[in-house]
Amino acid sequence: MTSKFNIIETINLCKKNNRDAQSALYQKYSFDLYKYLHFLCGKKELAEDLVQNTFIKVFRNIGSLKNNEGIKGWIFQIARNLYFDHLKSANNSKRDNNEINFDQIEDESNQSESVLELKNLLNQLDAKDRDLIILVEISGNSLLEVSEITGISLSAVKSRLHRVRKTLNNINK
Amino acid sequence: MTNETKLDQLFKTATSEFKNDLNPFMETRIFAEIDNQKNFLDIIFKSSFSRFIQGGVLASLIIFSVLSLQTPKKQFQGIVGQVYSINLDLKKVRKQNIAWLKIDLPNGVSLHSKNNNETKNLRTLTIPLQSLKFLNEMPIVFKSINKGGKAIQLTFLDTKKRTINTKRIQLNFTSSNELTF
Repeated sequence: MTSKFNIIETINLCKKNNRDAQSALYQKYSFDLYKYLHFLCGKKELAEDLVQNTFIKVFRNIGSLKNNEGIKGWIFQIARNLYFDHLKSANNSKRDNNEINFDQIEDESNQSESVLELKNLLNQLDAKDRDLIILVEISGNSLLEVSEITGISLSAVKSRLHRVRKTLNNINK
Repeated sequence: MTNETKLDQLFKTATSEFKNDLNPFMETRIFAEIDNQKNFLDIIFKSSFSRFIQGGVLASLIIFSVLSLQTPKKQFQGIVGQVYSINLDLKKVRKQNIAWLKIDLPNGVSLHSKNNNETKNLRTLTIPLQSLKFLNEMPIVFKSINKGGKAIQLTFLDTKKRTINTKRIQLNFTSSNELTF
């Protein structure tokens, strides 16, 4: 592999189970993914578990990726699906066993005041609204990319984002 | 400062200040997990059809020389009415945090047990693997009563019965005089 990161070449090598390429892909996207998941679920430990499971799924299924250039969106899509599956199963478990909500547990991570302030603000949103605003404002995806990741139409992304911003502004008054 | 500007500023600051406190061993953990899963699945296929059991007694051993046990996608050949087993390596299963195994059988294929005659009528069986902690392997013993292509579906579940992995084992049963080596 060349010293300069070539995404297409890296993905092709990942498809052949090349460990160096898999490592390069991990290095390239792990922090962005962790940041997204950390703000999404609000907990370091859960975000780490989701990062781990996402990359396991990515490396196991990368052979089925058709559009190599859409790798970032594909990785985020896997992570997002894992989070919502987890949420569903945690909600079912809470309903069945009267467990406490994991989202309510205080975060143990050592992040700055601004990070904690934003996390508290985002935690007041519905998970799907939180996901949408994080994908745009924190992960830096375009609206079109968000539409592809979430499977929501571009116009619906725009209008929902407008509504989420309005909600956040009202909370943040 | 308007609320809108305040919000934009908060996003900008929090994003730039976010520390990468991701576990430094995460990458190692991921690759270890992938390697474990790979080995675990290999074992299932390498063990397929390794034993030939009749009435709970190890009666004989058939070597399927036509089968490439290294290529899991290849279909396994079996004889109608004969009893076969797939051995599950429970030591490797435990490393995967697999708590349950769900076995779905196709029509015409039934489980075979010398002690429990009721299992032969089951189409689906979910086994708590953690209750087998004193065993190192678990044979799934079965036979087919008719010819044709069949698939046994194994679903591996965690303690909350969420799917961790699935494996479909393709089999082709023929009558004994049709089997070619």
